[in-house]
Amino acid sequence: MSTPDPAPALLPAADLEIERLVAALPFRRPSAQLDARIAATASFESRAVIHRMRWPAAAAAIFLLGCGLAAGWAARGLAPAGWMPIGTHWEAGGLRELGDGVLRSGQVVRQAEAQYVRIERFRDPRTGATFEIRTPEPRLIIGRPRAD
Amino acid sequence: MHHAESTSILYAEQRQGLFAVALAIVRDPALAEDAVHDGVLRVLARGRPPEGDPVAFLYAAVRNAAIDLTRRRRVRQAAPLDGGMFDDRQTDPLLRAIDREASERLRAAIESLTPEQREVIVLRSVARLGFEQIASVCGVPLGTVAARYHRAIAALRSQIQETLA
Repeated sequence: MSTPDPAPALLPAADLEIERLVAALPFRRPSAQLDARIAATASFESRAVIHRMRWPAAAAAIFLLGCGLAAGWAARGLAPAGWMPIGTHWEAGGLRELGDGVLRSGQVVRQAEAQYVRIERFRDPRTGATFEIRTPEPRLIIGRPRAD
Repeated sequence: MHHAESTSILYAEQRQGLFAVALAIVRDPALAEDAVHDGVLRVLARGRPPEGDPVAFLYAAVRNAAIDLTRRRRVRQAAPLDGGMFDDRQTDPLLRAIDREASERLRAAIESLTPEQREVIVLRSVARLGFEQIASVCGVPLGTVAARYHRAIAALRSQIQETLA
């Protein structure tokens, strides 16, 4: 595949003779190990699956990245991180009698449940509206042992 | 034909020239083999044939790999191994035709050339590249290649003039 001498006629015969002598010198030759390395590398690179899968794999990765970005953009309004907490307090919702209870020791006690409600208040910075979330938090109360 | 396959065939045809060019730059046979491998790998990694001359492209890749290796390992000034670019175990019919003294003078003259001149002589005499291909490989104008070639030939001729006469 080497191209021929472009203008051998323009070179003096003495120059061509020197070229010929240089070419005849015992230049070092590449080893068989190099040939094996090159063959192995070429064999690896010639695996069709690599070239066939390269573009589809890249396209799939870009598509998935785009889907992730679009989903994140669409869900930005739903993120609770946008709500600013104003404060939290509890309200007492009364007491509910649960009747008698027996402890593991066999002692009989009176039980009741305090109906506390946790109220968290938030403000939406986009609309300025405030709202609250009420969460019941009943607390078990154990009374004194019965006198009888 | 697949790109890797055509590159393998091209390497098989040019392996001696590629190795000689790399050796002329790195001055170490093991490093020269690494440079040839790196250069061929660069061509293979493209995944497609070059737009221009594939022979010149392959030589340019190996030459650039050799220069990169030389810079990386700082071996530009390293002394060549015994015999330098040559291997005395080889015998060539033409070498038997010229006397031993001429051969020794020629080898010493090649070793004493500047790196640029030695590169051009190797690309021309061993790799059998044309001047335009050499210009493409070295990345210099055609006139620069011709000037380096003629200066190198003049230096070689002066060294072996008595023998040729």
